[in-house]
Amino acid sequence: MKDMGGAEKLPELQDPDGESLPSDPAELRRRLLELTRQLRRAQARIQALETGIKESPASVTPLARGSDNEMRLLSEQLERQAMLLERDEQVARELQRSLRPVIDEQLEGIRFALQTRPGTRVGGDFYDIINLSDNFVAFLIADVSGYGLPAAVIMATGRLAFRTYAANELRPRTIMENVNRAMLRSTLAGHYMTAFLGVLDTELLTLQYVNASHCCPFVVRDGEAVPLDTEGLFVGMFEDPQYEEKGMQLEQHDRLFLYTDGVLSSFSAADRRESEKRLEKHLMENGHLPIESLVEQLAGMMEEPEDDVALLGAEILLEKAQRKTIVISSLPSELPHVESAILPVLENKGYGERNIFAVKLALEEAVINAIKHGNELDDTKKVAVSFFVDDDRAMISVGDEGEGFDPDEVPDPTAEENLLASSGRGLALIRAYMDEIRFNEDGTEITMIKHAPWAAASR
Amino acid sequence: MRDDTATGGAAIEKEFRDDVCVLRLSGQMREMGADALREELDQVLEGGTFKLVFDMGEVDFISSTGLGQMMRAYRTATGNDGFVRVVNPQPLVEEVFRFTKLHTLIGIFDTVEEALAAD
Repeated sequence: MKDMGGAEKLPELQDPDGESLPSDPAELRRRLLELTRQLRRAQARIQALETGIKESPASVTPLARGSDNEMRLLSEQLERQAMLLERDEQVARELQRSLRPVIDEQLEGIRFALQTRPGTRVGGDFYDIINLSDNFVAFLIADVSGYGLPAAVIMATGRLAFRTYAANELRPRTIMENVNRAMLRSTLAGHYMTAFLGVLDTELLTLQYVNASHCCPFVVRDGEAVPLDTEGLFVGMFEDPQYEEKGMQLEQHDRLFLYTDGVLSSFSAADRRESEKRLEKHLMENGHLPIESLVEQLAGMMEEPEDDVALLGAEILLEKAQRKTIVISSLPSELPHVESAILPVLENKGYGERNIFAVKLALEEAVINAIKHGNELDDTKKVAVSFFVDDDRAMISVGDEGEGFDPDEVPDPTAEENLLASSGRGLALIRAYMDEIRFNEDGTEITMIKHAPWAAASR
Repeated sequence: MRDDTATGGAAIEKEFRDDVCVLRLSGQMREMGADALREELDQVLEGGTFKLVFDMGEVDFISSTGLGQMMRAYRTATGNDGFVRVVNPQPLVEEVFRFTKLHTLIGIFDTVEEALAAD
């Protein structure tokens, strides 16, 4: 194929003909199911072909004594099989090409450098950049086991699964767990993928990530390279893969560097860990280069790879903000979304279990109060949660579109005569678990402050 | 066994011992999964069991919604000569009981056996 030689640069990612995925989750699910069906058919075909090839030598023995005619028939049969395999290879290539991400223009605050190198056979490497709600963006890189059409179809299934589950979720661990479950159900035994998924808050620059046995991505900053590794087994094989989520505060000009294992071939060592160490050293020594040059240089270092290779570099051009606002509909099911946007920031800042528990509790009480009592579950009304964090404190305001209330009129739920009533318990918990609270004049917004543990200690 | 942990709720396992129902909970007792918890509790109470022991060793979060579900069960249980008792809550969860003073209504015990023996 004509695109087989040399490094292939990827500005054609923006190719308007490139297929973009539907944003409607129902449509995504439909396509996921369709791809799963295609996968089953493709795998059945491959298996039939393999069986055919394996069985052929057995029929050669009688033929060797037989006529030239039978010999010719056999060779024709083998030729046909080879052509079918070749066609599968082309289909796989096309499938892989059609699924390359179209970089969203809204991501102007991040500079991407992308390189792929096709191998001598089609592998199942893929990456994706997914715009999530509330200015979050997901970075994904994955490598499917095997090669050829089955790998390409699993790749397509996997990518759709990530897109589907990322639509309503911000926590990479939850997304990865859902994708794992979907892949367990949809792929045939023996196929799996390694994957790394990072979710970046493009306002506060908090990065949460899960590494499901994929080779370690790195964050490169000031000549240092930080590996992004977590516990967790590969995707699509285990009921309970034990994914761990970690977080990191990024800064402007940090570079994120994701790749598939072919890149490590240029740093060959006794094992993968050692190769990763060598790559880490290379990144530290060359971290000053522009991200495009760094990625190009690494792509150029590889010899003709057997499997496909993908490299994704991302430089953060955005300035770190301290404030973020999330607006949700008045549905209790929106609470996890708010939580996922706020709690990881405090975890990364080192607030500790006790303080995280306190903020989580106060946040639930305030948001549920706003939804149920403020907006009276009217889902056309919104709840706005704004979050501010600096080195000393976290401040959360929750506002609704209701009539407002007078906090002084809420009975003390811990008074003996009120213990059995449930009203006011939420507000009392907020008062108890946060350091400062105040209300706006018309009682439609509560502002709650939690001091950072180190700031609280010095008070 | 009912498992709502994936959606942020609790997993609930029930075991009947004579006229007592021991509920083994894990996960979170909060807004998410609250309907499931209410259904499970209603089922026990409607079945005529009014002595409830909540084994909460595996519960790592509780909010006022979770407390509200327990208090709802408490009202029905105590109205029928029964009780609601809590066993082995994690420290942060126990603090929520103590802060809201609900521990004065609902006894907190170290083990299921102690909760069953108390009277």
